[in-house]
Amino acid sequence: MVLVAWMTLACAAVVALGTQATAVLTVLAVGLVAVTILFHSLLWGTRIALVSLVVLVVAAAVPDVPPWTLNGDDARLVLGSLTGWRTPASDVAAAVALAGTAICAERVSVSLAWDRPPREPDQAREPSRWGALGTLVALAVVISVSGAGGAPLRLLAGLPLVLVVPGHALVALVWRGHSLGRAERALLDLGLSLALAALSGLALNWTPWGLGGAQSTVLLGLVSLVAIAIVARRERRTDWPALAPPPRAQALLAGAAAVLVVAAVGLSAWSAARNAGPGFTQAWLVPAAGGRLDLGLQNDQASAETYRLDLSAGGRVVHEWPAVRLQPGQRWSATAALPAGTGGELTVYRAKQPAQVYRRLRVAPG
Amino acid sequence: VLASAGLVLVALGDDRARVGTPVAGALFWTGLLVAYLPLALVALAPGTTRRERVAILCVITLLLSLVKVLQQGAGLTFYDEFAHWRSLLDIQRTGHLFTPNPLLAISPSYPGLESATAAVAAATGLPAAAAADTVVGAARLVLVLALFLFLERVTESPRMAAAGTVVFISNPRFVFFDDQFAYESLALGLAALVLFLEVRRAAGDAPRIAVWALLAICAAALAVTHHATSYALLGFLVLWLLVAAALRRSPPPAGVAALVLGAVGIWLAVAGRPTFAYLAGALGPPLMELGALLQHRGGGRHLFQASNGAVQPPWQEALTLASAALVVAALAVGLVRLWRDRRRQAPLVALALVALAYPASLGLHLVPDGGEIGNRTAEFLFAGLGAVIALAIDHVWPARSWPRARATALAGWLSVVFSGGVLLGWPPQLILPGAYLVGADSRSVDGVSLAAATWTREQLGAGNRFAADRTNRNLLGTYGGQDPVSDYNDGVVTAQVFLSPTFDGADLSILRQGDVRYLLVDRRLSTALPLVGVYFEDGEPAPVPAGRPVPASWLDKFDAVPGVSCVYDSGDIRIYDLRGVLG
Repeated sequence: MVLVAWMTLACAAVVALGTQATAVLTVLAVGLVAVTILFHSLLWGTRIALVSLVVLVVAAAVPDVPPWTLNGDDARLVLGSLTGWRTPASDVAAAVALAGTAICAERVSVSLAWDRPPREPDQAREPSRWGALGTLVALAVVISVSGAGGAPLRLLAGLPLVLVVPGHALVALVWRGHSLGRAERALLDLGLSLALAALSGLALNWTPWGLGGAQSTVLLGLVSLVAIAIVARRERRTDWPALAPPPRAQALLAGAAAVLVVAAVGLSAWSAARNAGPGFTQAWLVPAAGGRLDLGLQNDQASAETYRLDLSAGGRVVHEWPAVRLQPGQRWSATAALPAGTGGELTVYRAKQPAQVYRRLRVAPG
Repeated sequence: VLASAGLVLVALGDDRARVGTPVAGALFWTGLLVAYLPLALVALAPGTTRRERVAILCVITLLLSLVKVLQQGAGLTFYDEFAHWRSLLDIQRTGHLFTPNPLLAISPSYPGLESATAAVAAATGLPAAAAADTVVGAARLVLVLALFLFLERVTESPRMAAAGTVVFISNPRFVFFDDQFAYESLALGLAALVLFLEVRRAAGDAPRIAVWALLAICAAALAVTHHATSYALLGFLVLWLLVAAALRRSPPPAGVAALVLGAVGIWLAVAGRPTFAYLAGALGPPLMELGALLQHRGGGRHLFQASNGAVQPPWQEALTLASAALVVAALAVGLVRLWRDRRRQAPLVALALVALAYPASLGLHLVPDGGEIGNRTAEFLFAGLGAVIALAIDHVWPARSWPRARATALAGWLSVVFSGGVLLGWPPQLILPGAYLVGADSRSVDGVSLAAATWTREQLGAGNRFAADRTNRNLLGTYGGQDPVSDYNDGVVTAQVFLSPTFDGADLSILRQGDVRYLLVDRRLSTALPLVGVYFEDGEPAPVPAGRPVPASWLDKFDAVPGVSCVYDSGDIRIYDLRGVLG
């Protein structure tokens, strides 16, 4: 409880003082440090805390633009802020948060007896199923928040992080002494994860961070990690579940079924894209700032088209674009000015029917 | 593999429907039955193991969930989906809940679905529509698994539980309506999970404190996700409680009923205050129409005929009627079995009482606004029907004997009930994709409307007040990020502006009242009557002469109004800027 309370309060301080990015990184770092010390050793937890602190300090100093866009003066400014004596308050708060978390986690590790004897300080523990799961969850949070590894890896990491792990960890934490079959276990993993995801929005809505970015990922990841940490302490040695591979024929049939499902989805996507309708052309004429007009065309037909545009005011053509050729999907735009106090009319013709008005738009005076 | 091949046939049917080939229907229905029937029969077969039954039910659920995805492609196109999509987009944009939703005012008050979807989208990087399909798919798995495990405890038989779940999957709303991105889709799974946890708790087969903790989490998530489902669960728990008390069976589900009541009450007090007005608006008209019909005062509704006069083919009429008749017949057999063998089992009796409402729900289809309400009760009633009909299936097709003739009869029963249910629960014209139709919800969503809505965001910016027809209103509110005005949400009837031959002072007054800046006119409305009965929304003035589409001249009248600017034209859709006339 002391560890959880410290982590919560310390993170709250960083959230209040720092930027959103600093807050997210701090929450992530504090969780990682706690889990590492609980599962593994103080030494590794301290190393992670130090690296995290460096990342936090740099993240707080670097402006919110890509580094390659910084010019020489900007770079000097960043270096100056890193080496200057005025350390931001959020950095101090983050350092205190990390140090406190390390101390609390170490005290929890060596002095609190759960249902088994405490571990010896700095003695690496034999990895358990829960330890491995905790590491994977921490890794999944990092991948999901940072986007490292690209979209497929983020999808692989993010889906179980939200839809399976929170429920699994919660059930492992509270459901003791009564057996659960595989179906029941799968139901509770999925159902409770959905329930927690639904409630996470409420919890985050009443925090300064809100739930617009990676906050829900971090929250669900932290909840899972705390539950896993407690379960791991309680069940120091858990057997890995026996997963027998399915019979070869069954695996082949399942693979064939999966291929057919993918084929159906692919066929549907291809079909929808191919039958997008007869096609059309969008034309617009919108008043813009400074008395100017934004006008444009977009060809949403299956073939290229050439257009002629006349912009008139008071019955007189004031601008003409005699041949605007657009490929399928291509957009063209221009800006024009009209005499003060007059309205305008844009007439669009197609080259293949030059005498027939194709689109007519108008802007009222004033 | 066979069931997956059925899904390929469904995709082929959709493809043929997009180009208007007559064979599309045959491909689609064959594929749908191939995806459903063989697996359903194996799930009910006597020799199937429990593990296989569970796996088969999960596979059926996943395959049937993909039917809607195949039809829609990459986006969300069902009418109700747009409202929740808007709430999701608002959450992602603002980072907070409860942002007013111009498409459905009640939606932000129940943000459970959108919160979960936002979490999935943030963690995976999936686009909103894909994250929505993922969450709904997961919720449907929870629903089917929880229902199976609940019925297994109640009937004490995995086979009967599988039978009950297969019957539930055959409900008219399962394939399309319950698969849409709407709050009920998630709430049904959470409600079923509460029932499963309760039967385990009542049997003493769960850690005491833990099960209460999990029940509290599920009840809270349910209360913040959907009003009607949480009330329906509460109603069922109270019914179960009363039945248990009458039968003097213990333990009654008093604790969990109190828990759900507390969660519902707290959420109503915190954020759900507009709920009663919303539900009264939705339930009031059909109930009044039904009352009038019973007193021979009101006019009924032509069955099997859409509002635009389109009539269903005779085979569809026959299938729909046969489906309802077979369900009622099986219900009768199941009730007899219940009375003879299990009338002291409180949860089964409570489920039977729920099932008894099914014949009455069919009566709602006789009044103009009642079909929707009748259909919306289907998933709740089929939970009860599943339990009772499982008794009938076990009696007519007992596990100890499984002759070929009886298996064939069961296959026929399942085929008719399932396919007739699909026809009953979703407008037949919307089951397959295809060319644009007027006022036809998903069939009215096409590239023309999507392009216009997207253009408004790019060229006009978000948050403008728009008046438009019901389909374009939804697209403007999501793809366009605009704030469409409606009678439903704003109390401003903008339909009058469009459905009149001239533009006059009364129209200006309406537009000023609604603070409308832009009009979006879809000129295709003049080509047909709306499939769903209205171009804009309920209560709109009927075009003159009645029974004919709105004249094109009524829609084009804005071109001649001084001060009105036509800022966008794609041929079918025009957007008018009213700043010159409204000031």
